[in-house]
Amino acid sequence: MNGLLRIAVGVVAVVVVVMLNTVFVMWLERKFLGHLQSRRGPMRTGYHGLLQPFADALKMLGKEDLVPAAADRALFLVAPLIAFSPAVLIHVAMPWTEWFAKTASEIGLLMLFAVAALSPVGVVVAGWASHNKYSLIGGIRAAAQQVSYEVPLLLSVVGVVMLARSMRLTDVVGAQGVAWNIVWQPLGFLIFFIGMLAELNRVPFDLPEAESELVSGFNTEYSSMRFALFFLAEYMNVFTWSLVGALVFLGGWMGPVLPGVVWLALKTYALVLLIIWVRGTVPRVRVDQLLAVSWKVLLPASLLGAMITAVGVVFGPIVLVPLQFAGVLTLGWVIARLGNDAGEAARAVVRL
Amino acid sequence: MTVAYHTDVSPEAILAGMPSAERPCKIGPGRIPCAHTTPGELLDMLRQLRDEHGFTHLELLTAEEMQTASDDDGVGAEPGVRMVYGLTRRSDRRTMVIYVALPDGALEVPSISSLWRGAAPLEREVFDLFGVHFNGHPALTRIVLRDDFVGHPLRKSFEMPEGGVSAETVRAAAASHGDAHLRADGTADPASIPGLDPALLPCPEPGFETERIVVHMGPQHPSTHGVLHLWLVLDGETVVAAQPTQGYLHRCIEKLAESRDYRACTALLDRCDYVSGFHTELAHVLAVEELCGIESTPKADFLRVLFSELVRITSHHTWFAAAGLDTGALTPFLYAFIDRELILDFFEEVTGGRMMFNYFRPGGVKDDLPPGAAARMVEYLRTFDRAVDEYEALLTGNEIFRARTRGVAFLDRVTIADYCVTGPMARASGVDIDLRRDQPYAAYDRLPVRVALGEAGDTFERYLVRIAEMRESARLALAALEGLPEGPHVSDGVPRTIKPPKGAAYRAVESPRGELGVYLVSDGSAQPWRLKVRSPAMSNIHAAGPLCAGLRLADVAPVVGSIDIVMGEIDR
Repeated sequence: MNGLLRIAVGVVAVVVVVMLNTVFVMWLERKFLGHLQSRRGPMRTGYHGLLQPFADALKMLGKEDLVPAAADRALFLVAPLIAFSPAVLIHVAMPWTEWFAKTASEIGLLMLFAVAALSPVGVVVAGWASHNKYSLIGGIRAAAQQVSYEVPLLLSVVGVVMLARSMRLTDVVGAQGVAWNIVWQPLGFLIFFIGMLAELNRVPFDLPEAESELVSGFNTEYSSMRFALFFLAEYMNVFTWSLVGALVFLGGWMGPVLPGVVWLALKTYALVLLIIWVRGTVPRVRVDQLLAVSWKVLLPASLLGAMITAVGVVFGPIVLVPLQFAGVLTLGWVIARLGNDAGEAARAVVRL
Repeated sequence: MTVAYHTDVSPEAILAGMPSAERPCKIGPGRIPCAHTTPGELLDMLRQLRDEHGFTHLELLTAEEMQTASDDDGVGAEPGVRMVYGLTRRSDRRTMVIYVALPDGALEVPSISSLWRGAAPLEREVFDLFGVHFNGHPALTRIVLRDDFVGHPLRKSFEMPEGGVSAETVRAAAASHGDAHLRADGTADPASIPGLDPALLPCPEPGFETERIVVHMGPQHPSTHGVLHLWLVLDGETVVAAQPTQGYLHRCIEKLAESRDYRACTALLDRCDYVSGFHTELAHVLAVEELCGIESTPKADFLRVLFSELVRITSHHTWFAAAGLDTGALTPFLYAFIDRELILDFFEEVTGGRMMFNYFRPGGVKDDLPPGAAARMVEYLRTFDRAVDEYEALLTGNEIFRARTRGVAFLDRVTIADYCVTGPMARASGVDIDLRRDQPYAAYDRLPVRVALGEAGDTFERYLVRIAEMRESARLALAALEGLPEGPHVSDGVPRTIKPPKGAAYRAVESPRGELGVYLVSDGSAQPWRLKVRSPAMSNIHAAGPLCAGLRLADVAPVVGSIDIVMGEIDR
C-alpha cells in the first residue's frame, strides 16, 4: 500500500511539475520571441502576461470540438492522445537530481529515445484521419522527418554513453564531474541540437505544420482541446528535450553553490531560450533539403563522432577534444556550403 | 521570338507602310500613333509588328465602347466595341495603338494568345466585361465576375437587374460555382480547371499506383498575399502544374469610374493598388493632365516623385515582410512593418491618410508639406540605409534563405516577353526597363535615377533587386526633398469641373510592381468614357504558372511572394 501511495504521489508530482514547466515554456516563447521582434509579447493577463497560457487554455476549452464530416472519426479523435501520451510518459525515465530519479533504469537513455519515437505516430494519424490534403502532406512530412532525424539523434549520444560506460542517466550525469560532456562531445552536442529541433518540429524544421505552405499542416482540422493537446505536447517536448540536453551534455544538476535542481532548471531553460532564439532568426528549410541534411551530413557526422570518441576513450582526452572540435568545424563548413552551392548560375552583384 | 529589334523606322512610318493598317492617326494630345485594322488581319499585323519591327511588349489589351458620334480620329459611328492593342518597342520606348472596331452582332476577334501567352487573361477580362469573343482562345471563361453572371457590365447598354442581385441568386451561384469543379465523390475534378493541360493529370507510371492530387491553394490561405487562388497539381511534394485564378477582389473600379468625375476617380484608384496608392493616382492624374493640357508646377513634380518613392519603400517593406514569412521566418515581418509605420506617419501628416491618400490632383498636389515635415523626412531618409542593413542581416546571408531561393524559379527573357512581365521581376532577369528613366514623368528627368538591375533571374535575384531598389528609392526621395523648388504646389487655372476634350490618353508610371498605366478615354463630359488600369501584377502573376512548374510545394509561396502581387490591383 505504501508503495502504491508513493507511486501515486510521485506521478502526480511529476505531471504537475512538467505541466507547469510546459505552461512556462509557452509563456517564455511568446515573451522572448516578442522581445526579439521589438515588441512586448503578452502583457495583459497577469504580471507581464504570465497567466496568458491559462487564459488560452480556458478559451480553447470553450471552443467547439469539430470533427470534419469526411474524417476518419475514430482515428481523428484518438490522434491527439497518441501524440500527447509519449510526451508525458517520457518523464518516467527522467531524473531531476541524484535523489529524485524516479526509475534509475539501466537503459534510461535508450528508453527516452524509444518513447520519443512514438510521438510522430500521433501526427501521422492526425494527418491521415483529417481527410485534408494539407494535413495529409503535413503528416507524411512528419513521418519522413522524424524517422530521418531519429537516427543521427540517437547516434549523437553514443559518444556520451561510451564516456559514461552506462546508459543509466544518473551515471551519465555523474560522469561529467570533471567537465561537461559539451566539452568532450561538442560534435555530438551540435548534432543532438539539430536533431532535437527536427524531432520537435521547431523552426527551421517545422515542416509538418509549415504555415506558408500547409496552412497549419497536420493539425489544420483540429479545434478546441484536441488542438490544445497537440499544442501542449509540442511545448512539453520542447521542455523535455531541453531537459535531456541539459542532463546529457550540460552536466545535469552539477554546479557549485546552488542546489542541483536550480542548476538543472537553469541549464534546461538556457536550451529552451536557444530554441526560441533560433525560431526568431532563421527561415524554414525545404523538405528535400531537410532529408539531404539528415542522411548526407548528420548521419555520417554522427558516426564519425562516435568513431572519434572510441579513439578518444583509448588514447585519452588530449586526442578526443581536438578531434571533436575539428569535427564541429567541418560540419559547420559543410552546412554553410549547402546554402551557397544551391544555385549554380553565375551571379553578378546587382548593378546600379 | 525576337527580343529586341533595333530599328530607326518610326511607328508612324511603319503603320503608313502596312497595307492592313487603315486610317493611320494619332490619339490624344500625346500623339500616340495608331491605326485601325480588321479582325481578319489583326493576327498577321501584330505578328509582323512584333517580329519584324521589334514591338515585343504588349503593353495594353483592352476594349472600349464605341462612341457613336463620329469624332476626330475617325471612330466609326456604328454601335459596338473597339479593341485596343497597345504595343511598345523596347529599343526606343515608342508606343503604338492598334484599334479593331467590332460592331454589335459581330463581337468576334481572333485571340492573340498565340503571340503573347500573357494576352490570354487580358482577353478573358475583355470577354467578361464587354462580351467580345476571342476565337482560338485556350479557355475563354469569365475572369473577375462569377461564371453565371448575366451581361457584360462595361457595355453602356448594361443595366443592373432590378433591386440588384438577391441573396438567393448569390447562394445558388456559389453552390453551382463550387460544384463545377467537383467530381461525384466530392474530390476536385482537375479536368475542369480553365487553362490547365488535362494531359498532365493521369497517373504517369503504369503498374505503380500513384495519384496526382489537386490542391486549391487559396483564396483563404495564410500565404497567398490576399485572395489569390492557385490550382496546384501535385505529384507528392512536386508541383506538376500551377494555374493562378483571380477575381476574388473585383470591386468594379473601372465601372465605378465611369460615373465619377475625374477628380473623384483619384480616390477610387487609391483603392486599386492599396499598397502603393500614389502610383495609381499619379498615372491617372498624368493622363488627365495630358487630356486637358494642364501643366503641373515644378514643386508639385518634386512632391510627386517624393511620395512615389516613399510609397515604393513602404510597398517593398510589405514585400520584404512577406518574403520572410513565405520562407518561414517570422522576424523580418515585424522589422519591416515597424519601419513602414514611420513612413505611413509621414503620409498621414501630409495627406491625412495612411494608405488612401487622394493627394495628387490634376495640376499639382492637394497640400504643401506642413512646416517641419521636410526636415523630419530628411532625417529619417538619412538613416534609412541602416534599417535596410538590418533587413539584410536577417535574410541575405542566411544559409537557409539562400538555399531556399538561389537557383529557384528562373525567369527567362522569353517568358518575360511572352507574359508581358515588367518591373523588378523583369529587371532581376537583366531586362533593363524602368519608366522612371526611359520615359520620365513628374520630376524624374531632373533627378539622378539609377536602375537596380540583376542578371540571374531567380527568386534570390528578385530579392536582391528589390533590396537595392529600397536603398535607391530612399536616395531619390532625399534628392527630391533637397531639390524641392519654391513655388505653388498646384497650378492656377485648373477648372473646377474638369471636362477634357474628346480623345484618349495613356500614361504609365513605374509602380513597385512594374508598368502601371491608365488608359483614359474622354467623350467630352465630366466623367471618363472609359478608364482602364493596366495592372502590372496581373501580367506578372500569370507567369507564376511556368515559374512554379517542377518546383516543390514549399517553393510556391516564396516564388509567388517574389512576384510581389497586390490582389486589389490585379482584380480592380
